[in-house]
Formats: sequence, C-alpha cells, structure tokens
Amino acid sequence: MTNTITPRYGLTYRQSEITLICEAAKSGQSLCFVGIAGTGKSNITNFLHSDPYNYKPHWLGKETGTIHFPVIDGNTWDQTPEGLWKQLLAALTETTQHLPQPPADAKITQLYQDQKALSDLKARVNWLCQEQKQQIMFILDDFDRILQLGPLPMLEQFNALRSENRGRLSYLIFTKKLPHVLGRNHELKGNSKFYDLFSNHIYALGLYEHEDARQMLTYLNEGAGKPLGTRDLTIIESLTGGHARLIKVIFELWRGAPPETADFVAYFLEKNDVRDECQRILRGLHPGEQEVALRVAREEETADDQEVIDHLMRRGLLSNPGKLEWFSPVFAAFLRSYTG
Amino acid sequence: MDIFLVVLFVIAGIIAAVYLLPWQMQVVPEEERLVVYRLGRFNRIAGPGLVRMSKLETVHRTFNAVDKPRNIRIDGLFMRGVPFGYTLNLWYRVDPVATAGDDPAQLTQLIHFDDKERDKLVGTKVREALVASATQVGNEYKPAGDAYFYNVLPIVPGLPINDRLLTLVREKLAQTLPTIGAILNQAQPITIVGLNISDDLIGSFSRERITTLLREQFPGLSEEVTLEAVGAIAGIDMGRTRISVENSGNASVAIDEQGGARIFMGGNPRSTAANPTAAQPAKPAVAQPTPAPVETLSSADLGVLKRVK
Repeated sequence: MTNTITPRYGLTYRQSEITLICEAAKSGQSLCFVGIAGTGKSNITNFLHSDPYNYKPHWLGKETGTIHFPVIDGNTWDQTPEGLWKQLLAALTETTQHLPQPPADAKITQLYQDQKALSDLKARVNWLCQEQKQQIMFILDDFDRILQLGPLPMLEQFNALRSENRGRLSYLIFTKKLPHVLGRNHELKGNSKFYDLFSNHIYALGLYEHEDARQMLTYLNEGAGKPLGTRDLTIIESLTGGHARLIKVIFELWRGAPPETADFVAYFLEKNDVRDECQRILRGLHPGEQEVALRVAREEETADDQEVIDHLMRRGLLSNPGKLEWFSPVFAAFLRSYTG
Repeated sequence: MDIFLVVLFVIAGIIAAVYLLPWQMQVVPEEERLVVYRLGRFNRIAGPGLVRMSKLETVHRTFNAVDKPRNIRIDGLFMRGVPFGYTLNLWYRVDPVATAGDDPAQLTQLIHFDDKERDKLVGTKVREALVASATQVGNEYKPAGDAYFYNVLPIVPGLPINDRLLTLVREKLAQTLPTIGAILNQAQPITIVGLNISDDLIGSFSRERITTLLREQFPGLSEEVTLEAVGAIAGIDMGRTRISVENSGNASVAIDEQGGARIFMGGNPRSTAANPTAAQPAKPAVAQPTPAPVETLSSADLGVLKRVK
C-alpha cells in the first residue's frame, strides 16, 4: 500500500465512543456496541489492539502500558466452548507476549479438552490481573452467533472469569443485533450474570461523523494516488452518509469508472457491489426493524412504527423527526426498490 | 285467608333467612378449591361441592386441583458439553392440604400462589431436577468412543441412559414438588415429548452414521427403539404413526436409516400408554423442521439501546 500522509483515522476518531471505551477499560466495566454491518468498527478494534498511530497515551494516559485489548472474531468460532477458550487464550497470549509468562501448574491435569482450554485461559488471566497487576478488556467482535448459540453455561464462564478479577477484567462486545434478543433462546436477559455485566451499557454504534468520513476518504484517495477531486469526495460523502463500507465501495467504483451522469444515486444503485452492501445492511437488522425500514422508505409508516423509528434514529440510520431522512440517499433508494 | 297468611309468612321467613342469617352457600366444581379467608386471615381450603361460609368469610382465590398432564419446556440444559432442551410431559395435581399435612403454618405459605405462579414454580423445580440429574448421568455415562456424537446419546429419548435420567428426575420431583404444594402422579411416566438440539450439532451426521453409532453404544437395543432414537435426533415428530393392517390388527411405523418406513407388527413393545401422544390421532412420520423462533421487538427491547453522548 502507498504510504499516505493522512492516517487512516485521526486522533479524535470516534471520539465519544473511544472515550467511553477507555473509561470503561480503566474501571473494569464491560460494555456493548450494537452497530449495523459495515459501520467501521474494525478501526476501533485496530486502534485499541494495535494502535498503529500511537494515540493510546492521549486516551489512557499513564495506564497505557497496563491495559490490554486482545481481540477475538466471533465469525471464526468453531461453535464449541473449547474453541472459544482457545481463541481467547491465543488472543491474550499474542497481546501480552512481552510480559512475563505464568509458571506451569503441574498439580492439576484436566481430563476434558474444553476444561483444559478454560483452565489455561483462567490461569493466564489470573496471572496477568492478580500477579502482574495488568488490566484486560477482551474485545469480542461480531459476537452475534456466540450469543445466539451459547450455551448459557459457556457464556457464564465470562462472568466467572471476571468475578475472580474484578476491576481488572472487562469485555467490549460488538454485535449487529440487540444482544438479549440474540440470546432469547436461553433467556439471556434475566438468566445470565454475563449479560448483567453490560446490560446497562449497551450503546448504538452510529455512523461516521463528517470529520471521520472525510478523513477516511482522504486516506483512500491518497492511497490511490489522488484520482478524485475534492468535489468528488464531497459527493461520495453525501451519498454514503458516513457508512464506512459504503464509502469504500463507492470510492472504488468511482475511481474505476467515474459516473457520467448527475443522477449519482441511480448510477450507483445499479452497481452490484452497492446493492450487495445495502442488502447486508438491511439483512443485518432485526426483522422488525427491516419491516419498519421498508415502510418508512415507501412513506407508508404507521403510528405503531414510531417506537422502532425512534430506535432506528438512535442507531443512526434515520434522522430529522419532522421529515424522516435516511443516512444515505443510495440506501433509501435501495429500500424503495427492494422487493425481497 | 288464614292459609294465605301462613304461606305468606313462610315465604317471608325464607327470604329473611337468606338475607339475615349469618352464612352463605357456594357450589364449588369438582376441579376447583376455594381459599377461604375469615376477617382477612387464611381460614381453610374448601370444596368441592356445597360450601357454607359465614358472612365474615370471603373467597380469596381459587385454584385448580385436577390431576392432569402438563407440558413443560426447559431450555438451556447442558450435559457432557452438549446444549439441549426438553419439553417434558408430567402429571401432577395441586394439593396444599395433603402436602402441608399437619402443619397449618406450611399450609398458609402454600396457599399464597395462584395457578400461574405455581406453574412457574413447578417449572423451576423441573429445571432443578433436570440440571441435577443431567449432571449425575453425565458423570456416570461411559461413552464408547471419542467422537463428539457419543456425548449426545444420553439426551436421546428411548435409550437406557436416558431412561435413567428420567428416573432420577422423577425421584427428585417426588421430593421437591410437595414443597410448593404439588404432588407428582407417579403412576404416570414422565415423558419427553420434545427434544431441542441445535441443528448445527447434528447437521454433520447422516442418519446412517447416527444409526451405526447407536448400535455400537447400545448393542442390546431393539431395532424399533434404535430407529425411534434416530428419529428423535433427526427431529422427526416424537409421536408414532399407527396404521391398521387389514385382518392383522395394528402395527407401528418408524423411519429407518435410509429414510424409508419400517413396519413393526403387533404395536410398540414400549407401553404406548406411557406416550400421551398415542391418544391423539395418528400423525404422519415426517421430519418436522424446528421452526425458527419468531423475533419480535417489544418496547422493552427497543428501550435497551442507548445513544453515546
């Protein structure tokens, strides 16, 4: 990749969210962000885990070196408890490999593989938190399927781990749907102490603000040798409404073949990549959200839809209560043309 | 005239008796019982039949006292690393008087629950019994091999290890249900009428492979029971199809490892009286896909999400 002057994201990238996360990490509080597909959470995890631009001291101060953010990707989970513990342990080991290693415990031999994997994870977490006085915030990315499938006893182990390391261990969970709805099969809400850890801290991960969207476009443009002018970037920003993946998709399409029509919405709506991304966004919503979204797009919403509309506004998909507007005119057009 | 006056006085007397005498009558159906309070405090359980109450007494609530079967669904169970859920059918009746015995304080505690609350408590007791029994059976079980599927077998209805699980559940419920004013009918079996296993868990196993593993683990099982177990795992309706063979009496049908029908003459060797579904009209033995849970968002659901300030 071409070395760009503009970093992929700036110091004040997602300022509100990063502030919240860092405060939570310092105090050992867990939290969850619910964001639509493609909303750019990879930059958040990248910043917390790797910090390529060395922004962390600005947010974490003198605790920068003692707070660690191992990341696991729920999409690569093999649907077994053993697999999950191994993922967590591998992520933690990779993130803290520069720290002293715990001594091996020869007294206990676990008979079952999943118990061994959990035991190894516990040993490492306890060593880091209790002996080395470190703080850990596990980033559980794309955690939808894990919450949905469980089982509940597996999820409760997260609470058990945290109980042994109160104030030093916490979780940052990313999902596309509401976590308690995902976990409805095993009644996550009301039955799960793990859910209780973050139940009062479930936030909507909205779309990029203007500064972050413009930073991303500038970064992409510089990386491609500045094929697009300022006017083009401004149009892309207004077409995509701060949706990170749509920004990337439309930027690449424009760079490959600049539109020759002024009807940019219709032009890009015809492109498969754009339709695919819009479809991903729509399918990532709850069915109830999808239904209301389609009605709103066709101006067929009813009074009963108001609660869901408010909810979609909290998620950043809709704005302007007086005359509802979608974050992206391309997405709005997609919804109007959507036939299922 | 005198006779007329006498009749008038008698009628007036009856009317006065009804309104002025200090008691009231109520007819209570066979399946109900009344919780009677006197001056704001629990006095007694009354019914069925004609119940006489003083004007100082009120009926605080009624409850259903019928001994009948109920289906109770319990999810979120866990045995040997396998997540699963059951819908159990069990018979019980609500009888706080019998369960409290000679302890009036205990009776006073037990009458506070209405039918809905008590059903919830029964569900809790069933869950407790299942969790404890699953743990015990999971520890006792010796799988025939290392394949993950062997860990699934103890939860499969019809297999001997699963019968052991149900026996333990029955023993525990016989002890714990009376503590909430209910009595298990031990003359009726506890039956698994629904088994919930994740499709992902079973998806990679063909029906033939499942059948092979079952035969390895339980070589003494009859063919019919083996196929019934395979059907349960594959999600086929737990009820058994019955067909009438002309001049040959009844027979039963199960789906074999290739998906074809196998007919067993002379009915099910396992008592069909134990299967409450046998009392229902015969259903076709077609695999029913587990319906996806309907995902609706309530006001409470929508209120969970906060905006970052």
